[in-house]
Amino acid sequence: MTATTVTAPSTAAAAPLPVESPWRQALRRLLRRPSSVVALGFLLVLIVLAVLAPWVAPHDPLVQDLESSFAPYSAQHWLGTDDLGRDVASRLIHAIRLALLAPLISVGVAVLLGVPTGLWAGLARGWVDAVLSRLADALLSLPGLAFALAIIAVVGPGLANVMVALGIVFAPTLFRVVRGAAMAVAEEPFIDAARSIGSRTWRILWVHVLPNVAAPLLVQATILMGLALLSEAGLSFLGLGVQPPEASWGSMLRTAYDNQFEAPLAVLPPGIAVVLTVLAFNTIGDAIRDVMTARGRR
Amino acid sequence: MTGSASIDAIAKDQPSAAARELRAHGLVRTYPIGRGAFGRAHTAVRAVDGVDLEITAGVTVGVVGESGSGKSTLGRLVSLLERPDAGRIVLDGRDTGRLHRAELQELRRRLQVVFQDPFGSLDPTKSIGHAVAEPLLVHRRVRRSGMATAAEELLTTVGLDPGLARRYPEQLSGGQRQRVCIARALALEPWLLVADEPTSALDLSTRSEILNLLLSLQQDTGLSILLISHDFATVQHLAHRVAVMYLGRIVEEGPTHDVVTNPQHPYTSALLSAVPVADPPRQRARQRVVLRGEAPNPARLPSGCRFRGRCRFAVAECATTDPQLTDLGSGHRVACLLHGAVGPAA
Repeated sequence: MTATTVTAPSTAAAAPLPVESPWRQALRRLLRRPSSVVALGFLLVLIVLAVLAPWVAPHDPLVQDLESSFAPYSAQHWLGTDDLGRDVASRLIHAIRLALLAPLISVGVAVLLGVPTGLWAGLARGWVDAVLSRLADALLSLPGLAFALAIIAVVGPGLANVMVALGIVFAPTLFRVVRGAAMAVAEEPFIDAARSIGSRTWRILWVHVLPNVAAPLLVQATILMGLALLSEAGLSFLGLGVQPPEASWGSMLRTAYDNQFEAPLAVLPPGIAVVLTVLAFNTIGDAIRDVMTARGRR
Repeated sequence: MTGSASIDAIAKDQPSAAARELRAHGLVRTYPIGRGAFGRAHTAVRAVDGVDLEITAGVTVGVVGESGSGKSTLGRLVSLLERPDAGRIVLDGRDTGRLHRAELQELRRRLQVVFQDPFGSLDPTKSIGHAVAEPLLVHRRVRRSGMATAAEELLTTVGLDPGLARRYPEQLSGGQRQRVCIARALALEPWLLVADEPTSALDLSTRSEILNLLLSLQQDTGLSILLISHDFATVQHLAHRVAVMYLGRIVEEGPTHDVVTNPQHPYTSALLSAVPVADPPRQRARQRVVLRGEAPNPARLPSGCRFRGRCRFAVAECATTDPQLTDLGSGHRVACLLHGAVGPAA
């Protein structure tokens, strides 16, 4: 630097104030809320169970025992057995993997498709925005599940196909959220400042716009996770998702539904699992919204 | 961002002292205000309407005018943040309208901007150190690992505690933030700083601190500043030359001392008489020139001279002739028929 020192820093001696990035601050606020701690804890337990499923589950989830089908809850079969005598508790635990993987894949696809386009449309406006927005509108005008069904009809059933199809269905929602937020951020003087120092558009989008739209993006993504789980369960219930003999909460519900007169309580385990997990996602989404919009700006 | 391109650019245009010059010719910037059924603009405001500007190394130019005079738009055009609808800006001998994007990015480091709002012009998600050293990162002057050191050095330059580098904008006061913005603008060692109302969002004591900082930068490093302000007192403090804008045009321009002590355009006199004098008896005895009415709607400009509706000296000819800037000698120019200005009949 050739510029000269104007005044010597005189305040150097003062005790340094605690420095906290806005992210850390938001995380700390999040962990101060009992509801979000419970929800995060629940998801953490699910993740641990999913990883340790082969060791935690009391039985092999695929082994049939037709002798003891529709067994009631017991010490041997905690949650009873299904129509083919498979252990429900073990199937439930093994299905956690799919229950977590499914939302991750579909929201991941939606983020990959919706976020870059949304950021670009929000900053560039003009014809870029017009074209991308019409595309999103067209996708949004199709009923989501029906569209997913159509994609499955073309590429065939299977978990991966279902989740990618759902991701495409979710993409315009994320696009909308990100685009709107990016438009607001694009008006901020710090975007002009970034331009004036010579930043390219991609850098502005990545470094300055994305972190500032993170709050609505994270909220929407988390809520979509819950929705994805629900949709996966629905499609598996219809037999379009995971294929037998593999278990998913949706297909387990289907089995229970088909045999509701033999085993009326069998709908409870997968049903409650779906409800609690969706609730956990939504609770976290709400908490992120509260925590990040409360962030002290200005 | 290709590495080879920026290296080439650095090699071929090391700015020589002679190249440090910004010339703007006939700048026009219009904004559409009404849109028809098909999104086509049918009414437009000419925010900047034919402005010439010249800034050379070491010279601070002030632009004064009331709100709506187009001074901020002029600042954005000169900052290369917006492109003019007509006219051109030649920076260090290169016509900015004809450059490719990469060349333009490279040229931007000659000219840096300090914005009006120090609260909005720092990204709330980035630390002060990141904000200050980011220009160096963008132009590949430092690596990410070197950012902290560079930032601390820059913060010291503007009289801030280098320890602030780890803080976030929300933890700083307005004056500190504006210093951070100035440090960021200085990072690339530009010869010209465009400062659009750099002090109007600050309280009075901070305001003078920032102005003194700009003054010492100007005196110690020979930095040129384009200072845009609604306040003659601010501009007087720093500028070597001053340009007075009214409704998108420069109506008077010249050495600051000449313009202040001997204003020629009636509008300049009115603006100057609004500046209080720091001497109560003289302030009380002063004859104030109070303008009648408001500036006309820029979408429906009057014929002839734009100022005639509010001018005490307006004559019939003012309605038919649009006065052009005319040199009165010693580089003092004014656009007023009273001073022999001529122009095309409207």
